[in-house]
Amino acid sequence: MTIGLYHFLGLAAALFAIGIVGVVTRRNAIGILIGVELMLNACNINLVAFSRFGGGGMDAQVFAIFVIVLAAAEAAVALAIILQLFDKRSDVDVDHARALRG
Amino acid sequence: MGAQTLLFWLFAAMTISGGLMAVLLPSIQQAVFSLLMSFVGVAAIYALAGADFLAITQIVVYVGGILVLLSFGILLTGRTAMSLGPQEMRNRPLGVAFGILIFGGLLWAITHSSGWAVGGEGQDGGTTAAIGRLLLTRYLVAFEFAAIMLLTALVGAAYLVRRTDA
Repeated sequence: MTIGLYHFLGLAAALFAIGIVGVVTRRNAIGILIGVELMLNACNINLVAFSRFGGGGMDAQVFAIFVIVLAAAEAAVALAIILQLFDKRSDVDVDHARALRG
Repeated sequence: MGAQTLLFWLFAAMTISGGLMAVLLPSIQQAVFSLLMSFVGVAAIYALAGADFLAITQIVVYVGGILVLLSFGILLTGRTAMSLGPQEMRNRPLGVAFGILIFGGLLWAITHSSGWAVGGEGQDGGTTAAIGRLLLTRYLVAFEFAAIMLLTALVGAAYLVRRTDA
């Protein structure tokens, strides 16, 4: 059985689900960020798979590059926010960050 | 079973097991190192799919950039992050059940939709020249906006972590 589009899609689905588990179960803000990165990687696997098995166009890979660029910017800003949170509250537990709760 | 099939399953197992460990290990440092395994596996999957430029970008940006950033975040917030202990996870059975539900839903959607595989399989060979040409022609505006966005994120991140009490 040769490797086709569905293998890549299944792998991406599994990685996306793993990322969701990380986002909903972690309490450490950096752990949540790890889950988000896994989900972004899963989306990129989908884009690459469709680029490969959709006739070989390069457009999807350009999209994937933009996703990677956005992920880098997102990680930098998120870590800046996490460091500020740590500065104010001396922990990074998202359950304790409830200053905006009414 | 050809070499490609064998390599795909090897790298898929590497990606999935790294991701699972990154999500389920209680220690956040171990989670980041497992994430390294997952990212390298994803890069190998890209290379297997013929996306050589993306594979290199994945290594440079994710492993060289984001993972280092995450490690710095852990070092700078480490004292309490390590001492969260058994309370690190919240509603783990519920979260895992939710993840399995999402995975099942996605698999159902993938297998019950027809017409995903349009067009033939792409050719092997370098993608860098084609991607560069697309970035500077059809996606030039998006490319420039990405540059502005990166600059904004850089300035914004530096502004966010400034010392306010000085």
